[in-house]
Amino acid sequence: MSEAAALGLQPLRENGWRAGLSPLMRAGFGAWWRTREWWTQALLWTVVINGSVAVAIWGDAPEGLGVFGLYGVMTMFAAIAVAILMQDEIVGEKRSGTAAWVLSKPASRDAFLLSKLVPNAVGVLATMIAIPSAVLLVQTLLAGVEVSVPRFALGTLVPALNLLFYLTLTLMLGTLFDSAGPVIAIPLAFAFGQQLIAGIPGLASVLPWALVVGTADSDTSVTGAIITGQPLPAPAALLTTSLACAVFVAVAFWRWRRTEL
Amino acid sequence: MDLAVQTRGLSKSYDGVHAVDGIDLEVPRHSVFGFLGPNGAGKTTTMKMLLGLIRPTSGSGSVFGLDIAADSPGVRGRVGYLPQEPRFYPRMTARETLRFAAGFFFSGPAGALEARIEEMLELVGLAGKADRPIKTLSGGETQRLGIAQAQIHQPDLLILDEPAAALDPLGRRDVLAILEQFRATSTVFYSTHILDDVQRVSDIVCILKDGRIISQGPLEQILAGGSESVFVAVVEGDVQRARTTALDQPWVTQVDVDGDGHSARMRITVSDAEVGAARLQRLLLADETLVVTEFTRPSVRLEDVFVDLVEKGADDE
Repeated sequence: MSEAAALGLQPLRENGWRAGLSPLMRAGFGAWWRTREWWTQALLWTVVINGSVAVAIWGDAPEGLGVFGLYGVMTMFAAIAVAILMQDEIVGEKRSGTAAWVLSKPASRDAFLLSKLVPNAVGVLATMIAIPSAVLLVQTLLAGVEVSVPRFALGTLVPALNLLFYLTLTLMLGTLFDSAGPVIAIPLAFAFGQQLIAGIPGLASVLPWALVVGTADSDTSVTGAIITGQPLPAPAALLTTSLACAVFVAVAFWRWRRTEL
Repeated sequence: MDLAVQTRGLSKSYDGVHAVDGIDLEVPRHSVFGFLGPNGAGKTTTMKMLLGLIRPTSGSGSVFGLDIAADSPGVRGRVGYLPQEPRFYPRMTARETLRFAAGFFFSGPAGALEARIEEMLELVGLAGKADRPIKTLSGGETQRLGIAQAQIHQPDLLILDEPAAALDPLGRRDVLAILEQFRATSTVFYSTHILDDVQRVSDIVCILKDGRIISQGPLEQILAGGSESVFVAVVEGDVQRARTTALDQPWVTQVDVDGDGHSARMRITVSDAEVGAARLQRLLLADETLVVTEFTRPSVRLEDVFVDLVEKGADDE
């Protein structure tokens, strides 16, 4: 009898994509919720998003930008932060050798990638969208701004989708490249480049940018329109962004299964 | 022979350059297998192919009969691996790292898991530093943590890539002592540059150069330069007759004589070391006109054999 069996430990017999998922997920969620990561991010984005909105509500609001329009714009900064935060998730582990170490255990490649995708998605959505959005709701109610809570809840899913776009893009790039340069440069170039091409009518309405910021086609973002009950200015952006996220995830899994470590 | 690892023509190429070139490894169970070679010889690539981290270009391999390509998860379930220059998650402590590693292999009562972790921390001498962040550990302590995480599930095979490379002499001594302890329960397959360590603990040695095996076998056989063995006799008398008598034996392959006609140092190579040890000295003493003043079987250092083999390989190219 082995020493472990003598202690009462049972060997795990997980197969297929689930192999190693439990410890990897525990580690992934632990990196957010058992460290100071969650509260520093939550504090930072509450200050950035809700501080700006507070100025709009109780101070001098920017011309032509309502409370919810400003909220959408500020979440764009969070999306850029997601790309910066995620840049090292895969590339860093490839370069340091921790990915090879982890995958020398009976863990599947899919489980490894899921443990990067799911805990980070939950972490960024909770700290950069859910908490600041809850505070925003309280702010608007205190300020007497009329808002439908169900529409507000639905509207917050749109910047969440925008964040997921940058998260999945950065993770995919991490599987494709071996250095951090392109992994951070491409999402940032895309994020800022949209500002330029968002001025082109037609094209603007399919970009993720239209989800949270007004474009040449409409002064109102998709987020602002949903919360305030207006017609959607760029419904195609919801579809293209969702599709892009799905493609990024599929490419990441395809590539990661073939990566040599 | 009951083998833990077996490969047949295992190869890996990158853009047409052979990192590993058709190697046939045979690692017996419960052996301490020293995997030697200069930098870039293909040691790490071979280990990573066994673990499914790198796909072979051609050839095959098995670990305990499990195919390294088709049954990789099964292989990894029975192997503990220490990477070269191990890196772990810096946010974790040593204890958390072992808990993380154990999570891939066990389920059961938390108390039992913690007891196993404590046992491993004690084994590698990290019990006092178990709750410090990994980034505060020294290179030697990180290496010992690497050994502990590789052994946490008491694997049937330990693959250790340069386990003593970053250690000072005392650290090396401790690591070798730990390897000796594993011999009873596991097969140890390890690479190293420190040839004195190999000579101390290994049963079987494989020397790799430019992706090819240039020598593989029991340590004694490698030290003897293959199945042949060398004896040295210092003699006085009719040296030429002694030489002829020796060469008449079917198990004597070569006799080199250094000295004048009356007194000389004879270097006698035999094809079978055991026969040589049993009969050679008796054969020389049987000639009553010959005085044998010294008869020895010189010990050979692995480092000398290694340098000879590697340089010979270079000369042959």
